[in-house]
Amino acid sequence: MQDILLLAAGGVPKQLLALASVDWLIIAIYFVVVLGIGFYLKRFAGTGEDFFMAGRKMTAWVAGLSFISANLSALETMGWSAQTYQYGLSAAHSYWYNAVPAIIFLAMVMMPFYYICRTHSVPGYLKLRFDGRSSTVAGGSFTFMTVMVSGASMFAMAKILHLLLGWDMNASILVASLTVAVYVALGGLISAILNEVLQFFLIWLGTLLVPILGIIDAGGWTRMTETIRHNMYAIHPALQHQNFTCLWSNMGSFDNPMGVDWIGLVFGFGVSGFSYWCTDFLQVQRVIVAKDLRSAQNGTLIGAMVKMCVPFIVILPGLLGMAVLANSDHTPMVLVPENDVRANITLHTYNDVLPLLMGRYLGPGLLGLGVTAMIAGFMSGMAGNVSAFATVWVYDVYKPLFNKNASDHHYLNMGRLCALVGVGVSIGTAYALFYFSNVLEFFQALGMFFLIPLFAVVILGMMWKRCSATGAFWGFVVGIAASVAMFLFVHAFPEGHRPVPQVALDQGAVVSLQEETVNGRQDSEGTEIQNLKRISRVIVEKGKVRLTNVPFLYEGGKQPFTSGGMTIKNTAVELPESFLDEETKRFEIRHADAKTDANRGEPMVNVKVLAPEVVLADSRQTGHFGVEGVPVILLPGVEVSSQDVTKYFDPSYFNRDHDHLIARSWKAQPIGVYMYCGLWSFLLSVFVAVGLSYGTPQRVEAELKDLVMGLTKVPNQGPCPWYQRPALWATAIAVLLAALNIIFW
Amino acid sequence: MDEHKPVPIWFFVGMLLLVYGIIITTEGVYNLFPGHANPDLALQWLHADLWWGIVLTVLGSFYASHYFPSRKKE
Repeated sequence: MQDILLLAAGGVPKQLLALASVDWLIIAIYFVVVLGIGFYLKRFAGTGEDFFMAGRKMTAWVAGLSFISANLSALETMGWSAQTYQYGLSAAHSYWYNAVPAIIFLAMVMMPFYYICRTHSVPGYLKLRFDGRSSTVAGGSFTFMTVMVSGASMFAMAKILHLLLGWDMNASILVASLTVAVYVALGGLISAILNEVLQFFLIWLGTLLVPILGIIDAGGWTRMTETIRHNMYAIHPALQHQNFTCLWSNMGSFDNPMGVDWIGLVFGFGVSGFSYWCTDFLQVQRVIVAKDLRSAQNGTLIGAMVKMCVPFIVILPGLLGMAVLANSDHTPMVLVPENDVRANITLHTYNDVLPLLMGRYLGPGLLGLGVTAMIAGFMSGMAGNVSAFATVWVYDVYKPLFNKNASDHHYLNMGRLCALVGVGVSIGTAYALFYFSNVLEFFQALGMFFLIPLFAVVILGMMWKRCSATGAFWGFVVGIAASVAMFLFVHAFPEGHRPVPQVALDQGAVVSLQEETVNGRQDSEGTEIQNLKRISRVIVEKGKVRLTNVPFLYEGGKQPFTSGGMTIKNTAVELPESFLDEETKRFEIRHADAKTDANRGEPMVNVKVLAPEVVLADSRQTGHFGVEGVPVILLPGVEVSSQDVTKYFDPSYFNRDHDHLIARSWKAQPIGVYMYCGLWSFLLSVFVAVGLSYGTPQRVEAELKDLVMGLTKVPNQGPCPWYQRPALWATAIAVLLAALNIIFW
Repeated sequence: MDEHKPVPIWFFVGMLLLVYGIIITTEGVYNLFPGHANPDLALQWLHADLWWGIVLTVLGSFYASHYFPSRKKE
């Protein structure tokens, strides 16, 4: 018999966290306050400049906290905790290498251009610097991507709240999105920004206790890293000899959790960071509305300082998850990716790491604050998307293309309408994702890819006066096309991709389980566990089973991979526990869970059995379980629905034959592949823009005043105390950042 | 458009934290009594709800009083 693996000891409960009435009270107060602020601020948004640019009178602290709050959303806290669980401390590069240097660069180098030219948006800068072609492409792409990402974020929020708290997904989407629609439509950017400041405090104060209590629970940093090293055998068995608790020392080769070398990290991840932080209008809008250039720069630097601290509430919980989360039998709790067939059925996912820790440490009241922090995070990101969408649509698409000479009042009303439409389209996108849930990754990737070519042309435009409008336009378009092409390439399977063979038992199926006792496994302390019970055989007595890519013998003949339905008649049928898939050997070899049959030396693939909600025959109680590599017996009367699935494009999986060409390694993980995609896209954009600029006319210098380095004079802003000088703070943050990178080298 | 300056956002932040602090501190005090605390929580003996509630209350009181609208200089 094949090695039998129990996928989960007890499975995943229907809902992860249970709220008490005091938690509900805290959540309700939050909604009342954000709506109240929206209604209150309506009276201060009477002109287009107020609505779209918050009157350009934000202080440095408000601009800086809102700048970070708008980003502390859309899966940021949960997403990067999950990434840390997957990639270890390397995920902190997203903050200490990808983000903070880029934010300092935005403050000290790019902000003067954005601020002095008085643009309303990043596409608006392209129009001033080049012409309407690149700004229209940027405006159109940005508005499209914004509502798509906003919808994807909303879908993710509803899904997470459903899984964590059992909330109805429709209600979650409607309540959160209508609240955002109301306060943004009423108060415009000023309402979005001020609510983001409020949400900033809630996100921090609602999450901060988790790492504080977690590090006490783990016995300190050193003890935590030792426990992580020990638990690797269970959590990441294929990577158990790699270092998950360092930043740079394992980047000399591709042998690290991300599967990327220092070239991909430094240049690929660096480019994506600069693109996001310096040209994503969602971020830039928060700081260009400051009351003066010095406040805009200091606000951005405050954001950099706060961003440097975010790993404490995001990265540390991911590491703690590997150290302190354990099953009831004291073995390390194993979490899996969202696209794993066991996800949310028998095992929690990477995304659950922060909520699992919240459930472990936070009681009534504190749990309400933690859940409020999550909701606030999602809403601040959505409000950021909606307000940026309204501004770019009105100033960069509607005004130049449809109605150039309308009154300010008209544009103001159009902005309010856009906020509502933006939320409406986002809701539509969110519902579309109910049926195409893996599109979430698709939109996130495209958003990143769109910004990288945009950054290439914006930075060329700012730094190089020779860059022509035609060069910028084609550099931008070719960069977007290359990004999309690379995305399609790494997810394409010309020879077909066969999902893991799987037996899913429908709700209500009646099963009996045979168990066996095994010894020899170790718990998190390294102690051998005796008499561990594992499922050795599944007998389905009644109900329906769904087979995906599972061949079986029926009425004397093998029916491999056929699609259709049937009912088992006279004799019981035994499904294979594992088999050699002759047609898809190549896929099997690459499948992470493929086992090698020692006798034949051939790759075997195990059949996974998933039972999200079944009736156990002996006790008549409802239960759920998941196993792989065990025989399944179907008794007469059981209905079978069999399907043969081969995909030629799947955004949830990477084609290793393709992605190693992009990422220079067979070991590259998804994040490493995207880093290299970004790098190639950036280089191609620059190459095309520079090449064409030498053959096409450039604008005269007089027209480039205040738009290009060397032709832009930063106005004298008068004296200020030493502690308000941006250069001083930029230097201090850079030194601190270098120290952090060295300490965790 | 209203010509007055809006009430500083720091005041709203302070008020919200103050209310949350009072609620969570009250819950923390309630959990001090035998039989009220949730035994399934890790590190329950640290009474995180009590001292975190106090932190929120102090922080909220500071912001709410310092940025109280009538004390704001026009």
